[in-house]
Amino acid sequence: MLNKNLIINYLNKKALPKALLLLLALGALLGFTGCSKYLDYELPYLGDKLVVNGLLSPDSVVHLRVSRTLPVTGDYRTDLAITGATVSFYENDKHVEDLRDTGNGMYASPSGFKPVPGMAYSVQVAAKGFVSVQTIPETVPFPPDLGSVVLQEQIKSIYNNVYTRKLGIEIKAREEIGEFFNIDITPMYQGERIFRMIFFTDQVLQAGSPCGFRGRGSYYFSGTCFRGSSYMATFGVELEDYVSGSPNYADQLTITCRSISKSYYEHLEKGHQPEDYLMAIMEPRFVHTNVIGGYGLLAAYNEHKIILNL
Amino acid sequence: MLKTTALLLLFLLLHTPLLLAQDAILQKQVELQKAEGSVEEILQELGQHGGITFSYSNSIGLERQVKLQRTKQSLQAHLAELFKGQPVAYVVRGNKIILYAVAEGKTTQAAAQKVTISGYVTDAASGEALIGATIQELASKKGVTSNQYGFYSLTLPAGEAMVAVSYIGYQTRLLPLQLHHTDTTLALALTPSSSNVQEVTVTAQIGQQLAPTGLTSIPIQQLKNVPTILGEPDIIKALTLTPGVSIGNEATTGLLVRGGGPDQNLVLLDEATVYNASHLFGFVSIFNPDALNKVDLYKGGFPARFGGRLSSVLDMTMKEGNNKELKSEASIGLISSRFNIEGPIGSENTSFMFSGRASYLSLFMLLSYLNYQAGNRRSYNNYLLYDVNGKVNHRFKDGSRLFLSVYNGDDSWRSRERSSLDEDIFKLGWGNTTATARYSRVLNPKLFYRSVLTYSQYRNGLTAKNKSSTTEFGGITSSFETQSAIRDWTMRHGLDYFITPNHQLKFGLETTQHAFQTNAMAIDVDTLTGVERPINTWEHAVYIEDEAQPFTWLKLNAGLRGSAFQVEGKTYSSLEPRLSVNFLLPHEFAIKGAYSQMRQYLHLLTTSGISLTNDIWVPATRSVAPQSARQVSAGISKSFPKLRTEVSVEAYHKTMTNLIDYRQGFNLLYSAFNSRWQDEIETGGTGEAYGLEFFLNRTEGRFTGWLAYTLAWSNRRFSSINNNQWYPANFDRRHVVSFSGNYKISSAWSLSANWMYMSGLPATLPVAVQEDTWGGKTLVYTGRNNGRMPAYHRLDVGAAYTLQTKRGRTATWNFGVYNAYNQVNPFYLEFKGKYDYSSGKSEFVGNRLVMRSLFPLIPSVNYTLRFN
Repeated sequence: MLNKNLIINYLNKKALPKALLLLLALGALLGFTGCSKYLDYELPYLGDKLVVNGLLSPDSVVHLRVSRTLPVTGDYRTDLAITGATVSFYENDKHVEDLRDTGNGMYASPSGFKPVPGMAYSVQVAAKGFVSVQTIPETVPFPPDLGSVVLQEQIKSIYNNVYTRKLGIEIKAREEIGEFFNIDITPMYQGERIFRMIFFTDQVLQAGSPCGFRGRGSYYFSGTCFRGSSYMATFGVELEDYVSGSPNYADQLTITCRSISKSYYEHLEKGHQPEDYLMAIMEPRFVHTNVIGGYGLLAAYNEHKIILNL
Repeated sequence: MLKTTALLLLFLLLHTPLLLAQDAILQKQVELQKAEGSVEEILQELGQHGGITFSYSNSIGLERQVKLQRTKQSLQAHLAELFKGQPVAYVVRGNKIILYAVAEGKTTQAAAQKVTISGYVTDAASGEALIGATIQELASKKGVTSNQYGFYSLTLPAGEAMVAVSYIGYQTRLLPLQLHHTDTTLALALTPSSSNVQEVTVTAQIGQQLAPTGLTSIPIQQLKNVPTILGEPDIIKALTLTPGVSIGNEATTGLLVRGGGPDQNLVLLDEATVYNASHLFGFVSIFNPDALNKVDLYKGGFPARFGGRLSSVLDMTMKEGNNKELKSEASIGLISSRFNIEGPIGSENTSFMFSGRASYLSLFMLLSYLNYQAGNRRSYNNYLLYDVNGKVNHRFKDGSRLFLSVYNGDDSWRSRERSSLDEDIFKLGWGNTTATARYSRVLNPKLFYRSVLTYSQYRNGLTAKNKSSTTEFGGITSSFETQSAIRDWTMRHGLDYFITPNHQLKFGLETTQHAFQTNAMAIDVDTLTGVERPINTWEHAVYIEDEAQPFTWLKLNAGLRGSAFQVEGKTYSSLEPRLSVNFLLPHEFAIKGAYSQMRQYLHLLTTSGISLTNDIWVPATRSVAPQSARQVSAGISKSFPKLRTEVSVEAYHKTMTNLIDYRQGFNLLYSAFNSRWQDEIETGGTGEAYGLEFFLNRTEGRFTGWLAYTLAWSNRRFSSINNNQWYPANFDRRHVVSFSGNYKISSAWSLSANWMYMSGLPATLPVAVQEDTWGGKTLVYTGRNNGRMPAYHRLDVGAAYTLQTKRGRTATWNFGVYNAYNQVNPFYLEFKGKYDYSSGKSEFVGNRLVMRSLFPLIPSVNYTLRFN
């Protein structure tokens, strides 16, 4: 009891408020101000390597780009294109032709060759001053087997208070493994794209999910999660846009659904690098490559394009 | 009679010099003017001419007449001649020599009679139990240490004995005992070595050689003197300055001990497990030093009573509460205030302790909040933390004791950021709750029983909301929420059996029920994903620990721990042998060695290997096996009693199996954690850690402190990472040097400083830039931890000024500067764009590597007032 009274008495005295005042004043002067320091030293460089990038589709003539790597702290304005390289194109390990240098590091089929679904393609690239590289054979997939594509009832957008409808796209996966899909949805108004929000209504797919992810404005699915059956992907699509203050409603919906190769899927999934504070808590991704001896990606896809008139 | 006496004298002649000649004072040459007279007169001569003080009783035969052969010889020789053939022994304490008669034994039968003295060692002023105090019979050098409850039991031959009771920070007490033929209960109360300067003085303990390898036991008071960030005394941060212990970068939590991960430390507070010991993102630990009685850190040589983690055991015991008088103290600092009150309840049989701490960061952030609400500011943050500790201790009439202790603490961070389009709301919170009920009873003077029931819970949660701005389209947009928790109930029973003075057996069993709410919930407006059901598991263990000192030169602790873990219908089991050996050599040297096998049935899912508050604890499962480790360590130590200093060098080698690691590029922070987490981690990893630790520690005097150096390697190997090649673990630091010192200038002023240097942590750095499929440029990474961050070093300084207030109370001002030379230390590395403005426009040129740092120079001030 005595001590209790002493505490109360002490709190009534002037000494403690003075001490508090000093502490508060000092505390107010402080802030958690982070700081940074440029580390101007050269990072290790693995040396100049060839980089091969190309997307194969039955709808387009074979073409790809050959470039080279750059030191991490190098000048991004450097022209990385490799010209005068020998680019040999193979179908099921049989040489088809050498691609023609069309300038600026681009190489294209001189015969207008278009890849065939079910066939595996690869390239070998040799360039002066570089170690030759070759790609792992990439099979061009068959187009996706789509079931119903239905624009359903009006729903409330999770983003904006605008006219929004639910869109269901049924993807049928075959029994065999290794099917991957990409869906891209574009609302149009009088032939022009309108930029509105699109979102999942049933499932959230984050990076690391084994069933798919969202990246670069598109949606990617792994058939391993619904092999041998169909999967109804449902989206909320905002169909209303404001231009010059008056509302415009999309009159057309363009849906591009692709079958993509596994390499393409993995490359996209791991393509996003952490930035800023995420560098503190997240290891960088090792971007997938199928180029042996170098970097880049020779990928393949096959697509269906559906246009819904609204 | 003659035979017994002859044996005793032979024993004394053979052993006394070895046992008791501890000091060079005995070698001092002393010339006497008078070589003949009574023992008492000769002792007075020796004292006068040798500058020594003698302490003795009549039992040493003061009246006996003697005639010395030589007048000039060493003090030791004088004493040997003076007491030749007499059952007298002596002990040197500083400049004082204490003489006493040793048990002669009247008959052979009487000499064989054993008497057990037992009881508790306590602080004379507060009644607080002293854990690990040494109780030693000086002639035979037989001794024991008090257990976690302060209990000791020492069995000696009947007759006279001189017992020394010692404990770091307390005056050594010498007790001349006349032991009769019945067992005796003897309460031993020690007085702090200097009551008025107790903040500084720490007295060396008898038998420093006895400390096992791998044990760091620094008095709380010494740990409290280490200057820390914002003036908050922090036991954990102080321990990171000792050898073999390091930390990740700033803003990460958890100790990294001998190459182990932050999840491999068993942190016990009154025997209850603490899963996350951080406040304020790891800047401050959750342990309020005012509430702690004892802190022991085991890095190796683990006693068998501990298990469940691979790399360390941090065993902390809360104060019981002063049972003599009501005492309290309050302290205010820059970010928080704390208080502590303790005292008896009714009588000395019941005492309590209660302490609390809370931040007032919100107060400093009030202005920014008001500005934010008024639309004058784009963002604001708010932070709240608190913790409370409470303990009640009761002694029953039959001598048994009951302790009830509770800890609860939480952190909560909120931030809001607004742009013209939307507003982000972010909340992050975590907290621990522990509770312990301990019952102990002395079943007989040699048998001590203890029963403990503990509860512990760790929870964390994260909420992120995005709200569109208030246009005509506005409204709530999306939210994301995760929550995770782990809850344990543990029951322990144990017996300490003091067979002989040099032989003690401990055995016990324990059962823990873990409930993992490994969550999480991800909510996107009205869409709910992945609410996981709790995973319930059982962990059982039995152990036996045999501590013996069969010879004066050998001490060992051998033990065996058996454990089992039941999860998802599968049972894992393990046998973990432990051995710790000390060879006690002359001149205060000791050679030590230890071997331990450890098993850990829990894993910590973490994003980056550096522990964060939102990491998720998960159990071993059918597909994710429990972690195991084997550690061998050896060392040598040497005490310098005159300097109150000890030097030790230890080496260790540890192998670990079934480790897990995060997937490259996987981010738990934003991912919807789900039941497939086992597919999203790398498993089956192996680890290897080895190193050398040097420790120089001075524990008494005006200057106290230590110098530590660790040379270490810690590597990992996973089949799916770096092509199955060994790579440096995320927390591998090659060199760690630390210094911590406190110098008491006067009774009012003391200065303190600590400095640490740590080699940079590994980092995964890109090795090139490539074009991507869309023509952009991306960084090429080829292997994990292929580079290193810059080294970390920092100096903290502090000063304490103690004064008496007009009311006679003791007040202390603590001033400190964290990071005194404002070193920019690594938090993380990132790339920033490099631009060329020569053309008048901003043109992106490339990347520049930037090191982000958290803490610049930070001054602090803290005021503490003690109410007595």
